[in-house]
Amino acid sequence: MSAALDSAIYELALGNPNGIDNDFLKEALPEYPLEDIVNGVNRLLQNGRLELLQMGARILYRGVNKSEMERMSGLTSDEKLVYKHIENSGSEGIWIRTLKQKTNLLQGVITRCLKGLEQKALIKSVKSVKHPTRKLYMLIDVVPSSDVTGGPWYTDQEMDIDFIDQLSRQCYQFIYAHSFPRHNSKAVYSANHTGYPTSSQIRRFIQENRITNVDLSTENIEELLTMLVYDSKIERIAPAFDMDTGAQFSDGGSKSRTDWMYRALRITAKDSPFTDIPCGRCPVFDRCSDTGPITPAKCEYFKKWLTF
Amino acid sequence: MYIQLANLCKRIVCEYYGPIVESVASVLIRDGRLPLSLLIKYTQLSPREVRQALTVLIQHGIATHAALKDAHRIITYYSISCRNILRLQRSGLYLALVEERMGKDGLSILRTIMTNGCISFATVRDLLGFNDMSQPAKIKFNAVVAKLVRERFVVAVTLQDTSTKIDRIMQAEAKELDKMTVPPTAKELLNIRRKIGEREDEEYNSSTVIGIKRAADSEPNGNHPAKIVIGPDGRSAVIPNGHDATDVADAVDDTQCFRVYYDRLDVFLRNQQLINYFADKYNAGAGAIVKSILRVTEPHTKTCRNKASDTISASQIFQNLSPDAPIIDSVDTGSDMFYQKLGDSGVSGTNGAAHGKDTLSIAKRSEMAFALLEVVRSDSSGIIVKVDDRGAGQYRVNFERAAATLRDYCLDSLIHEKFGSMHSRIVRVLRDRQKLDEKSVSTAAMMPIASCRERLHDLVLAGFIDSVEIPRSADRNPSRMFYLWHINPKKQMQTAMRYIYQSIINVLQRLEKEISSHDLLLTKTKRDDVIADESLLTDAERKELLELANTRKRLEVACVRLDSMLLVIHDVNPEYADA
Repeated sequence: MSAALDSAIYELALGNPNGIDNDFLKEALPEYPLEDIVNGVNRLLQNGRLELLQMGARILYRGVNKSEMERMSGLTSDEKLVYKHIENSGSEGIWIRTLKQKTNLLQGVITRCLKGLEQKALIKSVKSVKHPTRKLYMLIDVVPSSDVTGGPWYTDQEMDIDFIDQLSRQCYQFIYAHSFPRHNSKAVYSANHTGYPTSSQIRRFIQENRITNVDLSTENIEELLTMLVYDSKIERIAPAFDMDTGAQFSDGGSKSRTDWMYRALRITAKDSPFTDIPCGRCPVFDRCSDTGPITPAKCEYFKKWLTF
Repeated sequence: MYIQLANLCKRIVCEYYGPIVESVASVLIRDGRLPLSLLIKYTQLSPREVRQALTVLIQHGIATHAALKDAHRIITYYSISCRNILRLQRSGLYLALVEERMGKDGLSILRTIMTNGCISFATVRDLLGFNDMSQPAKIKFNAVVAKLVRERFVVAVTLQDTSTKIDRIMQAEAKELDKMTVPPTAKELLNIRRKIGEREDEEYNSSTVIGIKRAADSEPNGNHPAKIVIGPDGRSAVIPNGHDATDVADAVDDTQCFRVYYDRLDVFLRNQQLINYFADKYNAGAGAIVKSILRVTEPHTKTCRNKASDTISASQIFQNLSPDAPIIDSVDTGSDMFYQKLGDSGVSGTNGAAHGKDTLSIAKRSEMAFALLEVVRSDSSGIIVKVDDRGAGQYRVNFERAAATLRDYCLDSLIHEKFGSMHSRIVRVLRDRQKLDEKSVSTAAMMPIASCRERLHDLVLAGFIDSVEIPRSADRNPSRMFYLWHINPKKQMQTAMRYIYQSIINVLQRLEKEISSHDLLLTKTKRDDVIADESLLTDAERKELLELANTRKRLEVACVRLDSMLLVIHDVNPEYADA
């Protein structure tokens, strides 16, 4: 009798992943008195087939599926608690100190639980790019979010400068090739030219030419292009307007996002007057004066430069 | 003031006017405004020498004087303008500029005026042997003189030139206050100052050219004395007679003293930099268009103080475009087909092939010019502004934006050279996004946070960027503080200028050393017998002289180029152009 009731409650709970409450059970199982239902729920909670959720003042029961139960079966209650919190942190992961605050457990207990969970291959620890000294815990099968890994620009928690350099050079070359008329390299396109590449075109170019295996989003490409803009290698141009609707052209149907065009700049090799003289890059410039051991009259760099 | 600036000014004064003037100038640079008695005391020169040195400096517009009423007596204070001293080393550029626009005559006239500070044209004529010239040469000479005055390359010297603007304002204010019987209220004082400011602006904006006589049409020789009036400020001026200046044969008043108007010449140098900017960024055609725009606006752009040019029409720009400007094929308009058709119709038409081709090239040229004008107008710097669509469009040059663009470009190249590309990237990020913390800088500049921090510290130590701290708690604990990095444009400019001053000093010192190390040889070349017979020099000596000349050239060119950075960073800025 009680076994049949238990399985009925369990089935109902599994059928409603958002949880069920006492009123729901009373309505669903009218043949049982409330007392029996409550006892049944208690039994299920005890052997871990149901779990309690609190939503405001309401208390809900949620069914725990078999695989989850198997996983949790060998765990102590502390471990279960820690596991739940780690599970809730999702792909962001959770830091041990936050875990301590949330669970109110002692440091030693938490460390033991984490070790146990790691041994059972239920959780893993990852290092965050933002806080390289912090260890974040998350479930073993969860892929860390780009906030934690730093996105495609990071390899082993370090910014991959070579990768960025390579890719930005490719982007620059692509933009350069489309910035000036082909038949006459000295000419420029007219002011209303709309054939300059956009970030989505550059992304397509990178994907089609298999320049990298990493999957780059348009946002990633834009980050790279912004960097090139700050390098004064390219220039951002306001996108063309759709004359009929007054809306901006954009791909993917998202009208809110501005699709900037990019144009390469001709002036890249800067010839500053400081390039001329040795003082520009002189390592002892600040110590150079009229008197003392370092003076322009005795300067070795000047000597080399003048005999060059 | 930086010690580098003081040192540089001393060096320049010594080079141009000798050690006695230098000692007077250096005291004035170090201590600021001083009366004669203190100048004599500090320089330990004789009163006569100090007076003569001051005369030289005032004659060349470097020093100014102002009388200040003490309780019982009037004391004259002398002060010096470092800006005008620094301009001395730009004289080569000024001369080249005048030669380009006025020819050889202009060059020799301006050189004479520069050497003498302020001088009347009668004396200039004597010095340049005007009386021995042929009649056509004389007419040409007079035309150049008139043009120099009319286009304000040189201006008449007035009493005001010997005092600074601040002195003038103070004196005018004191004059107004003297008229009042009771001390002024704050509002009255404000009113007085506003009026004085307005009067100054009015004088600055006045289009009257002092020192030019306008002969009536019936007397084309222009020797007839024109009607000269004395203005309320004691300046002499010609009453405009309603004719356009170019309509009337102008004759310059020979007795009036003139000086070089350096503020105006800086405009030409600035414009050249602007042309270069556009020519580098787009192509020579774009440079030619900008050159044409600036040439049209030049007559009304008195100094770099003007924040914007007059509005000019597109047709004015095209008319002023030089015929050999390389604008054909400089823009890809994608409309070649149209001209092909036009050309064909011209050939088959009644006017013949030649006419057809002419029409074709003129039409194509004007379309190219218009396309180029659109290109420079849509430039991200916002220097060329389209004001109105009337006709082919009305345009204006925004000199404020121009100065800022040139300055940023120059500062970036300096930082790029001194520190490297990564540092200049950081500076650009900060200029664009203003106040940022370390992490945001590293994300925007896409560099690891550790190396970003290192570079930020390099830059802050050099003085190119600043940091501001925002406490998270009331105790202002450094570990609980946000540090935001930002750029202080004024400080950045001053840091850059300090570097430039120091570099110019270094180059000058090296130049001095190079010359002094060849002292014996140089003395030999100045001997009368060697001048008469150059074969007295050995081959080795000749080779040494050639090497020395090369070295001098390199160092002097470096100096001029460094100085052009000063021009771009500081002098062309409308904010500082009035100092």
